[in-house]
Amino acid sequence: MSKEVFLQQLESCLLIGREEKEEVMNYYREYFEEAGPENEQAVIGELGDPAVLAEKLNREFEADMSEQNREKPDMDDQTTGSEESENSRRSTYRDFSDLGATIGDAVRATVEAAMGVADMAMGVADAAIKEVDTFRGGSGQQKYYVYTNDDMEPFTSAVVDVSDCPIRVERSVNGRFGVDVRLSVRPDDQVIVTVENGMLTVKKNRGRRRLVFGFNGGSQHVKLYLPDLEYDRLVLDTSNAAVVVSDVGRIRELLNVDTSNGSIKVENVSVDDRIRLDTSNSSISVRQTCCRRLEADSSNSGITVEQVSALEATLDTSNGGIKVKRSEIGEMLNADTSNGGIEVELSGSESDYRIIADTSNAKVYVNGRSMGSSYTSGYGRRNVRLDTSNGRISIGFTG
Amino acid sequence: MAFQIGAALLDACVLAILDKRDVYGYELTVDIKSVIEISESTLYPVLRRLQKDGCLVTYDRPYNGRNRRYYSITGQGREKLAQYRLDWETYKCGIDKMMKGAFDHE
Repeated sequence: MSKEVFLQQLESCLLIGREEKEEVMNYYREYFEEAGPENEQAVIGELGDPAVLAEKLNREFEADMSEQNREKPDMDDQTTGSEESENSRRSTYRDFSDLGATIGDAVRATVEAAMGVADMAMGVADAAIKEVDTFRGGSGQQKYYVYTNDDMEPFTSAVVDVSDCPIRVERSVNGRFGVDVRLSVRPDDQVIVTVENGMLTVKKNRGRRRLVFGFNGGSQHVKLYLPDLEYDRLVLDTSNAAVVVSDVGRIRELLNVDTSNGSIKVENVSVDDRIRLDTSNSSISVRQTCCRRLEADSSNSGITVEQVSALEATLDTSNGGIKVKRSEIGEMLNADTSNGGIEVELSGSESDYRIIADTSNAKVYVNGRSMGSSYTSGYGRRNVRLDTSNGRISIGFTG
Repeated sequence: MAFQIGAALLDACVLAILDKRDVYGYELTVDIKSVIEISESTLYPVLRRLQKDGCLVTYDRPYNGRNRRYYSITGQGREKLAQYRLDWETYKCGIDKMMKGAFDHE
């Protein structure tokens, strides 16, 4: 592999903002320059697989997103030690060590990878203890809710409605399910964490008196460890933070994720009907997942779909690339962007498809061959419609 | 080497190098690699994080028709480094005690 190929692959696998991407690329480009052509192969050998490096950097940037909350404490939230906070601590704090100890090892790797609390290396158990410390000495405006299956009913639907707060959903650990919620709360905010008729609700109702833009102070998170059941609906709503849904059993109706300025990652999930993912300034990635209908909408970042099986997929962004890899789209694939390339790898052969691909200022490539800026082919049962203005479209078949 | 360097320790090492002089990315990697085993890919996130935390700033200098990006420690970075040095002493003494068998079980 040459330096150019390495850098190209690195760049194409980075799912981060344009500016950040430029910084990263400059760093590694400079690094190669400094090492000199004679060390080029050695550097490539040390840096390893560009895709793996990119994944590492993606996670790093994603973790930043969720960390931003803690870095921007809100000034009028700094009142401390009030009686109210004493009370709220007593009433909301439950046995942390329990959940931590059970869940600790199993989720350590994944939690470390993407989001959660400071100093990940310690894993959930230690981190939970740490959180309590922070709380005691802290602003007095944070509320914790930690319930395990000892003190909550199982649920088959979940609705999370928060803001500036990362959300992570995964399956139970050794049959133990639970929720771990940490929210920054102002005096007139109302927090609801309940299970009613099989539905878990985690919600923060903001008080009416103020209109606040920006971050809400303190580090927050909502983590759900789902019971081993089949689900009806999971509806997750937040802003300015990442959402990760991974290794969740069967969902019958809907997985809906809404955030802005935060990435969405869905991995190893099976939904009978519909997955709907919406963010604005960050990336969406869906892997090892099946559903009937997949809708992914980002505006200023890329969408990656890998090892996904769906009847219909609609992927929409404007300033980012779209990639569909090793996926099976049964009836209809619609990918639309304006300033980014589209790369799709379709299962089967070209005769299975009806393809319409259009780009205005670049070319369409099919199996590596340039077909001009517009390409229409076939009368197959599966429809593929690819549209961009300033990016190349490449279509390949896995046979 | 059986021991792995953690994030905080790596931060401390980077700051300690920057405390002496401004360096560019490659130079820094070479410096650190001369002492401990790290992968070339680990330093970028460290530098970025330190920059984000206000512990260092960057500037570009032209070199051979391109730019070299230099990293420079800030006052805040020095404060952080001082704290790291204290913590390190404590940590090192504790580990030394155990490793050298001087740990006293009454």
